[in-house]
Amino acid sequence: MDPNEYRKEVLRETREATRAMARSVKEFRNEKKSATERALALGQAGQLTAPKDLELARDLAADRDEAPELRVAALAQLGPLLAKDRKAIPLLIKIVSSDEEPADVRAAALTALKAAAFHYSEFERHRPEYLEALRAATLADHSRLRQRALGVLAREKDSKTLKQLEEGLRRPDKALVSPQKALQLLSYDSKRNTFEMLEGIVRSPPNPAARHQALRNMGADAASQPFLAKLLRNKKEDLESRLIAMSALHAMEPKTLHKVASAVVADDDDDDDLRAACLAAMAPVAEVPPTEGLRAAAVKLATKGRSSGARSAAKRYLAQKPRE
Amino acid sequence: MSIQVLINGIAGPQSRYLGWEPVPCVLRTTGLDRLRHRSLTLRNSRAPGGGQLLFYSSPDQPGVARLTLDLRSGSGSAKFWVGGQFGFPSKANGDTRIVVFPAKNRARALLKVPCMVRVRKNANSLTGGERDRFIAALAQLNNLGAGPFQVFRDMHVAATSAEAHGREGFLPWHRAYLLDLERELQAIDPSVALPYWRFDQPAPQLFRDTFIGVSDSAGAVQFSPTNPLRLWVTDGVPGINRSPEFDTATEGAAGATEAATLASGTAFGTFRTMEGNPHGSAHVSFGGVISSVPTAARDPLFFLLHANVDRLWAKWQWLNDRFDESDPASFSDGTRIGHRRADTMWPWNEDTASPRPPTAPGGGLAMSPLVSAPGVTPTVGQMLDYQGKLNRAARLGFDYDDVPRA
Repeated sequence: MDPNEYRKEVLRETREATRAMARSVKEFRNEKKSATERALALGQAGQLTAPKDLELARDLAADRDEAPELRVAALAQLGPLLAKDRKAIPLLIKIVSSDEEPADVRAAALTALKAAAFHYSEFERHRPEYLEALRAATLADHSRLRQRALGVLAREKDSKTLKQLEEGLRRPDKALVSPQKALQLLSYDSKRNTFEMLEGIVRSPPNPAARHQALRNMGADAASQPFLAKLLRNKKEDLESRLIAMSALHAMEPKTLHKVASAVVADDDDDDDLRAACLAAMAPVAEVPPTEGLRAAAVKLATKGRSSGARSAAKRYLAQKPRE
Repeated sequence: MSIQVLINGIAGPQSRYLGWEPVPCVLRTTGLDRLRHRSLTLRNSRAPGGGQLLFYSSPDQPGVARLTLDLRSGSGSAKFWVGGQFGFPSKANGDTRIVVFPAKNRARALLKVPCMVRVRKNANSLTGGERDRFIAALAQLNNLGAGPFQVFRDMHVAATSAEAHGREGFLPWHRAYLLDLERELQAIDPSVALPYWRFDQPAPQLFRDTFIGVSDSAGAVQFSPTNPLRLWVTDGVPGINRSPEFDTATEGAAGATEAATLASGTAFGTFRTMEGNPHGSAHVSFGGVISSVPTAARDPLFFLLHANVDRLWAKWQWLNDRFDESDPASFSDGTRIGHRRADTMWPWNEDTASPRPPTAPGGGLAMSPLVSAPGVTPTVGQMLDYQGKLNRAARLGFDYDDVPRA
């Protein structure tokens, strides 16, 4: 590819894009066009930059008489306005808070606020109102909006939200989301992942996905260590659960994992993929050299392993742990 | 060996990773070969689909496929330059070679030096081998939550956001961040380059259980049994949460297209609005950790998303010649520390005095065996001339498959 020709091609594409965006902006401004046409045009306009276009987008976003699809498209354009217009963030917060607004419009306002948290340096000033608006959105009938609001609040470690999620696990009639989703959201705050609570779910899970998520969350509580070690050795457990237990144990205490995983690798009757994963996990633990027994088991897996993945993992382990 | 090629002054394999920018080399003859050859010719031999090299008598001259070197000087050595040919990156380590042969006998190769044209590529079009090497290195860096990846996760949290977001230093800070991560990956496997996720296009090959994973209905990311990312652990919790708001197989994420982003202005002041759209838009096209600043770096996809943001900046720089940090159209200083050209960037400067964050995870930026820039304590301004267009010594040692040499 000739770089000069390529440059001409990229410049031509850029010029075409500029022209197409200008056409789209013109169509967006045209009040005689339908809301659908204007929304579509806005989606193809790139990022609006002219102040009057941004103000028009803001006014459309705020106008409850406008079609939701046009308001949704307008909300996605407000980023550059946030630093210039003091009313823009309060407008977005108001839309997210209001249960009289259509769910799609609220979700679009929430998306705009989430994006603002990435790029708007003064966003912190609005955080209290933002969190309050999110709490209001957790009560929405619309499950996607509710889940997204809960997700942001959980990542912010909002204690009220986390309590609600815990309550939903204890009392399914009060649950705002599925048990696996609630557990996933609770994983953002390690203090909420007590072994006692999670053990109950693992022993009596509402569904397999919730059980796996509860096992993942156990990684945050050191009290889970003996339970996870036992589960990793238990051949009656499904592979996914045992892999999760292995990962959680490794994150908690690599030396403990090394001890348990060595026994798994040495067991020819155990699952080859799990044995390979155990070797991969043990390889970087420099302070624990492999015993002769473990080395022999790895050699056996490297030559006689049932899957190519297991054979490769064992070979990699042996290469990483040469005999001294 | 009596004939040697030194790339960047090094004869060993660690220097044999090339980008588009030519690097200095020396062909050296000793012993009988020094007496035997008055000139030698270089050409490129490549595996099918492998990287392609160009030779340069000086970096300002056009590259050629074949170059004859005069060895009649007393030293028996000659200088030349070599770089990858734009449009022809490697797919595997050593898939392209510098072949040295007598000027008058093209059939007789005297020396073959395996090389790699290593550039950052679109994740959606990686070969299986490229994909597997990348995820294996990334998983090793994570090491089930006990590895050095935790440092990168700790750099990008709520308390550190002002160092990296919402201001002029957004693009330079993230360039240094990606470079640091990529160099750590290359220390594990030198054939790895950080791939990018073109978020304005569908990426069905990326969002697979054999690569970055497929989300279930609750947003738990699922991997194939042999995918090492299956053992990903951050903050002590195994697994990744990610819920796409779009069909990853048939759609791109919400936000401005590449052409629209490149058309968004020729001055840095307007181009940097891309921090909101498409960058912010791409982040919030998902639910899950990637959609919030404090948790985004827990998801490996985060680094592919940011590689694309960086690629867009690189492409815009190339298109508009914006490499000179003293040119206000290339960069305009902000007011906050860490967002001005001459400022060193946190955490690599280990500055924990207010208004910097109270901790600085990770120490200095990782060094490269190929280039000396930017050093362990990069400045904002050092991130601009990444190909060494204005100053060869400023080269950072990475390139993109669709951004040529400036």
